[in-house]
Amino acid sequence: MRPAARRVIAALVLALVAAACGGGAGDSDEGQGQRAQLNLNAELRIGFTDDQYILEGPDANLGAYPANANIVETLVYINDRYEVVPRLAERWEFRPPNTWRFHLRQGVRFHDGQPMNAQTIKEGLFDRVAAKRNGGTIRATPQSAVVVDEYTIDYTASVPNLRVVEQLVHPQNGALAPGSNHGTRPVGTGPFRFVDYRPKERITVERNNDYWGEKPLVARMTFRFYPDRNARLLALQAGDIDLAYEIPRDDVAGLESRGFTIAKSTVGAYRAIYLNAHGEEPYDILSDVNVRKAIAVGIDRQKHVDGVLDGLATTDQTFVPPSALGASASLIRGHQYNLNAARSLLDNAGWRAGADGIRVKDGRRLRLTLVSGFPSAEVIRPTPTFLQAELRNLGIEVEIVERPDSASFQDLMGRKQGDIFIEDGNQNDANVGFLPILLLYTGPGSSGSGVYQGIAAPGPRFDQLIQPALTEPDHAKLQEIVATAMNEAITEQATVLPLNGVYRIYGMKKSVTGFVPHPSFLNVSWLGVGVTGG
Amino acid sequence: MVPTLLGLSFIAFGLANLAPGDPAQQYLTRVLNQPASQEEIERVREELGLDRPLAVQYVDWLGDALRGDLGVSYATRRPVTTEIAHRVPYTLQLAIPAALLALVIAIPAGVVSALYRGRLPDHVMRVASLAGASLPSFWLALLLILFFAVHLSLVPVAGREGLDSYLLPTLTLALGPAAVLARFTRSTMLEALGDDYVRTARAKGLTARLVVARHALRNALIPVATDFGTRLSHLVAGAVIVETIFVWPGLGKLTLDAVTERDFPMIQGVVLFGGLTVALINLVVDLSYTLIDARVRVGTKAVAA
Amino acid sequence: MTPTEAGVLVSEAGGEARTRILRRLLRDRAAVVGLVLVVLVAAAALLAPVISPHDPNAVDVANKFAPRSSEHLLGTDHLGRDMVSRLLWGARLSVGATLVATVGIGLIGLVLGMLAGWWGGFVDGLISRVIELMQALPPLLLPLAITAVLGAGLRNVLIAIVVSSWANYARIVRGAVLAERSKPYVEAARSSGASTGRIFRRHLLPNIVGPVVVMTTLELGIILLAISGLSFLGLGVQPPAAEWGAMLSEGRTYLSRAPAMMVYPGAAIFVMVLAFNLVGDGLRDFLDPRSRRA
Repeated sequence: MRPAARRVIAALVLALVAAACGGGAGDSDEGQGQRAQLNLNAELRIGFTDDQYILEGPDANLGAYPANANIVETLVYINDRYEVVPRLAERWEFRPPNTWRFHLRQGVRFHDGQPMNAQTIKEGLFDRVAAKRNGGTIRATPQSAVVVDEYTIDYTASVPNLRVVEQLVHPQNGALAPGSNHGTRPVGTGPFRFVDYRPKERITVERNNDYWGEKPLVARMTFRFYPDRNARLLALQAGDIDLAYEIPRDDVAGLESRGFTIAKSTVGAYRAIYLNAHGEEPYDILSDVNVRKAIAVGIDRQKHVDGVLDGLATTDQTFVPPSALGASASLIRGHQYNLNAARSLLDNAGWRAGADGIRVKDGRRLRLTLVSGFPSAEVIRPTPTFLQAELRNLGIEVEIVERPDSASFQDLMGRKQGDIFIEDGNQNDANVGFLPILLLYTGPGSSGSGVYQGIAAPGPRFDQLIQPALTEPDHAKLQEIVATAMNEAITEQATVLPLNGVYRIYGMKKSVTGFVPHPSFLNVSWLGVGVTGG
Repeated sequence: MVPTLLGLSFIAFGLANLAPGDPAQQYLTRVLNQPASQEEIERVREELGLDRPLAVQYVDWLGDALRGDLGVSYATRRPVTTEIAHRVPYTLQLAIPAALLALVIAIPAGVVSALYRGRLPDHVMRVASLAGASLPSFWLALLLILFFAVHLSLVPVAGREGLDSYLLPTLTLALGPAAVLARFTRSTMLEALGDDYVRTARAKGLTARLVVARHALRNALIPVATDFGTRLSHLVAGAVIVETIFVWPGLGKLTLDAVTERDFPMIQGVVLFGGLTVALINLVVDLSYTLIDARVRVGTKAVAA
Repeated sequence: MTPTEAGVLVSEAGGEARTRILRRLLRDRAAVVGLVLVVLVAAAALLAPVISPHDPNAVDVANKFAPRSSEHLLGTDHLGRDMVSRLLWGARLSVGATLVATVGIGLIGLVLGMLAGWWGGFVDGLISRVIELMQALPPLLLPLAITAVLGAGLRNVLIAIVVSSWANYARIVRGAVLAERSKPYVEAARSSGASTGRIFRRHLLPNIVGPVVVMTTLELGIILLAISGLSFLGLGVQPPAAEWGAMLSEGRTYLSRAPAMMVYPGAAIFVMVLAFNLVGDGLRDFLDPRSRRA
């Protein structure tokens, strides 16, 4: 054979061999069946997303957020039904006008031996939070926390705040041992102690044998950071880790067929689009509520959930998790997919189909910019492309702009440079009204940055409906208030359009047991998680 | 070399100033993590000296850079120099073995190819090196992962954990330069051998041929060393693609993260560092060149005598 | 190609080089195969709108990851889009972008290289310094940094690549011009009073065409790899555009579930770069048949 031909054939064979080897089953991990025997000396290797720990300043949160290694604990905790339950605080009561009194658990020690009591909670929790900007979400000042007696502490926020207890659930508000540094070597009361941290690589913790509660079932845990979800998934398949956060939906079937366990939480997050109702040229098309509603009824959410998300999501349009809204969840009516209705809405709004199928009005094309990037564009794919195709059916041309991280995404949103903003948001605390107020409310007492309100504020009626939530102490009534207001925002004003409810999907080896996924992924508890086998 | 370095610093400094957005506002919101009211932005602008003429800012920045202060990263809020210093060893852990592997593969392959020119080993090598030079590194990396990590589970997929995690990234990094080096070695070897070799081959037989070959090799290796220097410096300054795919916490990944996050102090630092590395390695190669050169001259004289 | 090689090539090439090249080109099978491949892909790229079986952006999630069939010769991707159509349109984008970038690099490199080589002195000094500077940077670094400044998108990536790559080109051209300039026939032309423009057109250009063409062909492969690489990293083409590097990146997400998504675009890039290299190699061999460098 001539050398020339040989050269080319050899090269092409490479390509063909590669193609031929596509597909096929890989090794099944841990092929043996589960053995009931728990290995109490096991090390649990967990694959997390990216390392976002802040290591300096008052916001330092090594080991707490977003990867919660259970080193520090909060006074209270939320269970998977978003109900507040005791943790370091056994009980609490509200003392009007604005004080919460916490009765602390006795006999608890920090990892360095210091006792957990009112004094150390004042220093290590409340005063630490007071040093944050605005005193954190609980609006603390150095005078807010007052020691009443050894195990009783009073907390009075600097502004009227009836939601303190729900907010104290957040891992950012954990009890740190006085004198320890939350950015380099966190010392808490949790079931695990800090061992080691390598930035962007991993954090290691070990069992706290003096923990006040039920002892952890594993000896060590290592969280490895895989910002790239493919790498994370592949690491699980290859056996580099035992449990992985955030499995891409497309890979669930494949993992199960390979002998891995999939655990799903209840809905704790949402994927939603915010429509820019307050933009200026050229981003002012969506200030017309009819165009917004056309989009709302012109997207086939079921197809999105079934086709793009592999059925691994819900078509909830509540924005706040339904379990958190309880009976009031049904107050949010949402939108029914109806392509014809969508088209007539656009026709009636003056947008007529042009030559290439894209609608035109007064010489202007119906062209919208879709911005994706919270928490990152990668996670949201391929929904933007799907939306682009759906909206094309309506005669809308969509340009996709991706932003790699939340900061740049919110920067664009803040400057109102886009028509549609898509994000994955989370419900992380028990305060049902937290997100709607933070993001959409513009009335008095509003504490948000104004970025989301700037584009998607549903208007005065929404503000009126949700205002009572700021001061409503009754949980059931609060749910009703929030649901009614959200209905205004979603159904009537269509400035926020939830696409689906999201639940957390975790993948793990069959040898990992006892893992109960929490809908709010910040509040994962590793107690009760064990590893079987040798 | 100094003008080159100056020019480099110019580019690095210029990049950040060409970028859209207000550096004072970026610093405030991203590094200090504070809300950006107009007064605060003005205050920060004054504090950071961003209201002075660009030339003055440049000189100041350069001065700081020479002392090792490259500013604070917008993304991690830590000093740029610290971040780079932290990541460089990880990149070196891949770059140096990859460069050595490339040498180990390329030089014998190139030499054999030259010695057996026109025959089977030559053709095999030329096919392989052509293919190697044409392979996209990102495709190669994914293929290797698919075979060895996913299907065969022999090595980890990504990350830097355990000795076997070095295998695939090093291999991926090494193959491209190996292909280019092999081709280059072959051509310099052929040049060094010249017509003498062909004549000697026919007339004197094996032993004489080997002697000629050995001399030729020494001459051939000099330009190869220069090229190798370039390859090595490119590897060190960050194999962005390989580090991204294998989630390797090195300089390349740092660069990409800085770019996607628009972390301009970091980008400046990385550009400066990258250029510096190339310049340094070239310097080292040039110096060693003169050493090899001297010895070769002496050696030839000895043989001739 | 190194300065050494280029310098040697330049001194060998003459005016009759072109005819020699064409004739010998047809005798080197490898180069011919490369040429055929290039023509095929170029044809596919040009004809994509006509021969593409489906709309490359037609999303059909119900039909995702479909296996090969008569309807979809290479199956569908994660959104149900036809792979063949996307590959064809990808050829259009990838090859088109590569050509645009190469033309840009070629023009800037040629102009600056000729200026430097011909005029010498201060102009040469300045241009050479800049060239040295550009070469002091590792390959992807400057394009990455420029993309950070300009933002993502194909246009910006092309600008970044052109700005980063002209230096190598200019250096070769400069070398070629320098070598030609000192030759007797050029001296003769100058002393006989011929204008600079005339000398350029009649004497210099024909003689540097050889190495320049070789260089261009080899650059094509490098540029294609750079564009695909930057798109792979998410900095180039934006969704839903079908470009081979971007398709590879999407394929990576589904590596375990649908490896084909990754394999085909990668193979396409590989074959294309290989083709460019084969042609380039063939051309180079003809300009200096003596040592038959690989």
